[in-house]
Amino acid sequence: MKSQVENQALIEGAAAVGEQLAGKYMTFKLANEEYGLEILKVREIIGLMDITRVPCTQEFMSGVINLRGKVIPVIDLRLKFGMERCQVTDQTVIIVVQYSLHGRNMTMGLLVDQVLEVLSIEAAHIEPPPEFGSSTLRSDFILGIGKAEKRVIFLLDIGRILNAEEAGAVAQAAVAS
Amino acid sequence: MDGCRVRLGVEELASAIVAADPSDPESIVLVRRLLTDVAAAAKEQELTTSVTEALEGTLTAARLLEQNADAETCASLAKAIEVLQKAVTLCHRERAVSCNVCRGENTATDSAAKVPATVAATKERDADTIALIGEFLSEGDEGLSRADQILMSVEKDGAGSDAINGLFRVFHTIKGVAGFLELFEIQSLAHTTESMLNCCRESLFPLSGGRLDLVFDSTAVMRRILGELRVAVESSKEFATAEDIVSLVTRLQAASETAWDGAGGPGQAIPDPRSTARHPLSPDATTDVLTESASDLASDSASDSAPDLASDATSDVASDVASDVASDATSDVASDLASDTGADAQRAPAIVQPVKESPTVGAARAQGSATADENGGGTKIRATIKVDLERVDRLVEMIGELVVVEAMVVGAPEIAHSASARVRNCLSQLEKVTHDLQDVGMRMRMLPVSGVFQKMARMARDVGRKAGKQVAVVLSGEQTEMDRSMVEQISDPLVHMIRNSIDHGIEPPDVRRKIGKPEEGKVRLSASHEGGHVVIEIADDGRGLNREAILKKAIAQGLIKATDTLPEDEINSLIFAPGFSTAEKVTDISGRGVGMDVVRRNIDAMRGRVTIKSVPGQGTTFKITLPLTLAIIDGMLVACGSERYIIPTLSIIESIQPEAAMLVTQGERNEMLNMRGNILPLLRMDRLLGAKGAIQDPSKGLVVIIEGSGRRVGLLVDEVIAQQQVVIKSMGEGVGEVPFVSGAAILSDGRVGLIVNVEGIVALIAERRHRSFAGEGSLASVGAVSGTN
Repeated sequence: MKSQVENQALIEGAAAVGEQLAGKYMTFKLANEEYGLEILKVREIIGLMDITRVPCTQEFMSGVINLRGKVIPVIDLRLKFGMERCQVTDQTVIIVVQYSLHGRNMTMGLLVDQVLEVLSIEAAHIEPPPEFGSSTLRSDFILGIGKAEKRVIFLLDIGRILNAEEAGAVAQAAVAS
Repeated sequence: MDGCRVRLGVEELASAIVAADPSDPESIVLVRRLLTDVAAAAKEQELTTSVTEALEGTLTAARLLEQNADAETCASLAKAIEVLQKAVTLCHRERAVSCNVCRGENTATDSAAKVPATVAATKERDADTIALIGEFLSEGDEGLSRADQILMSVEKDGAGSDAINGLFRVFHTIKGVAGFLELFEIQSLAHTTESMLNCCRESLFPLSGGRLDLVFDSTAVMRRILGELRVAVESSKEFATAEDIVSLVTRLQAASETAWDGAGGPGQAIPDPRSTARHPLSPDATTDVLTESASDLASDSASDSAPDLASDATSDVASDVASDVASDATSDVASDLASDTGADAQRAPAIVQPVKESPTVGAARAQGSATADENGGGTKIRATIKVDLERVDRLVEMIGELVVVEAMVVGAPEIAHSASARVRNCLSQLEKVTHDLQDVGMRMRMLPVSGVFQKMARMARDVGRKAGKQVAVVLSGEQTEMDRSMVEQISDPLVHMIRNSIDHGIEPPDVRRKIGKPEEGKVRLSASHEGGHVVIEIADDGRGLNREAILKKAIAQGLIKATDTLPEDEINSLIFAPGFSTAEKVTDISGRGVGMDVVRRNIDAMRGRVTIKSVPGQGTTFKITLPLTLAIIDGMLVACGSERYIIPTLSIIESIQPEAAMLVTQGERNEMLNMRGNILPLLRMDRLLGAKGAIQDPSKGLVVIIEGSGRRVGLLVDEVIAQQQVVIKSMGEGVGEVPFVSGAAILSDGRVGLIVNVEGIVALIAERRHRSFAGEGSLASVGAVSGTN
């Protein structure tokens, strides 16, 4: 009986997550994995351009670009997620996202392998993020998992991917001359 | 309180002389007795020469009256007393900002009376003042239209507390700024209106009927006066005060004193001296009327047995106004007096002096136009509009984009090689217009620090008074421009630092005298551009930081260990720790240990830095170094491997192509450059910044000698590409602090170039030296240290 109640609660919780997350997502590819970004946070998609490396920053920080007069940082999402550095192809793009973090407006570029489509995901097709346990990599930036035609899409919480403290943390090795 | 005694005595004297009758010996005796009292009170304290002179004149006139008691001598004495009264009022006003201060039973007034900052503040009248007046006018207009809006709604729907508070704020703001600008007429009108509104606010009587009309009148008159002030300043004419201010002030004052029923019909119960004062009168007649109202008001306040602070202050201001209004007529009075009393003609100008020196707008404009206006015509008050900062930012951003696109168009090979002279002409015109536009855009966000500095000078004076210390504030470099958001943000830290300097740094006058310093302490506030930064320094000549006390307290608070030996800099910077204070007691000025924490946090937020230099017994200097967030700098574009960086030209001393013989190496690691006998540390930019593919042989590259914080360092780069002006941009949220890079800039090809943080690199050298002295010899923590820059 008890476990049934628990199961019921879990299912209800999952339904709540689904309700919350249902909506349109822009999906993109990193290696063979598919990810989704809330469409309202995506400002534009631009082709790969010259990225100016910023010294003494973490590896996943690709550098900064000039977005029509504004300097914005670009993050290599593959490196951020602990994958191998991507090989630049003609599909490689920068997704410019805009969101607000602690009251500050952040504009940032995300370097991804390929942009796929804009997908409407219903509540029923969204599940809460799985528990990986503490031993694996951080995964709190995954809001939930969407399913569409047998595909699995990781829905990202863009605000958690990068916070200023983390970005500001300096790679020590670069300095030791 | 002595200042008040003299003033009250003179007021009593003034009313006595009005009542005096030459045929009544008793009244003459009364005048004589009061005069003796005033003279005695005046002797006990320092008064301005003008008061002393006026007092002498009065005594002479009184002696004449004793010899020959007739109506004529009585009248001349009355005139002498009038002059005395004005001199005393002026003197009083110079010494206390408002009467409330000196009536507040405090003892600070006496020590404050010696602070000469007042005089310095009043006499400094130049283009800045005109700018301030311009600002005041636009603010005032805005406030008045808001007030009108509120008044309309009050008339329709009745007065709520929100409405009254809204009105109150409008007049309060006007009063504050008018007081600052020493437009006493406007100040008094705003003040009395405010007092009356205050009574309404405290529900002593409703804001309706006649009182509402009065506030309407007040806004109307105020608007007209502001208009007149604008005309007066623009056409370089005297700012003549409208006589109806006085009557309005009187009516307002009456309205706030009497418990008058608003239903009784507007204006009925309120005395309306306007009916007499309104008509154009000869100067003498005006003086009479005004003096009458002034002395009426004065005697009111003097005889008021239940002193209501607000109304007292009101009448003081009112009499001030009266004397100001009468100023043009006073010269007649003074010369009359001089001839009547048989004094020599020399004295007349001396007596008139206080009135002439009275800080009227006329004087302000006269001086202002001398410096600001080169055309010889009127001084134009700059019209300003308020624009949403976001829109300005957006505009500046768009201009930035335009500049980049323009560079791309001009640089496009198809166009660049065009033979057509017409196309080339158009292009160069486009280039010029774009750059002008960029210049204008940049300037839109820049403000001189003078506004903040003047506020600080004013505050320093007030704090000095409170602390019972004599402080002179010396300002320099007020014209240094910085980003407007930073001008706003710098205000808070400056307040705390100046308070600290005065409260903790500068010794009390008796101590200073003992140790052979001038009694008057000095606080120097200066701003300048230095190597791509804005540097603001606050220096006092006080006792300096007490390092032992700081160490003791830091150990007690567990900030450091008792066994730690810290270099001087680090001891000094302990005072920035939150909650840190060595003050034995908390005063209302400082001592809670909050201020310096705020200072450092605000400055950190601006990506600035603050350092302290302190010499025991000689003073402390705070140096704030701030970046120019949105400014243009001259930069040298250098190549380093495949990357390009911008070095601020101001930080570059020279660049040389080193010969192999100039290079010195120690321990295979520490490279140095022998520059004409000077040994400079040599850093390789590629290693410092992790760039790849750079030239490794120094003799094939180029060494740029940079200087920061007084230290020089050689920086090895591949080559210098170009010298260009760049717009400093932030690296974008999310990148955080990066050592050795102070910002980014868009280069002419549209790519982003990073601006080298020279200070950070120089600090690295200092750090390295420090570490090697400490025996660690490693750079492991350099990143963390530089990150705090």
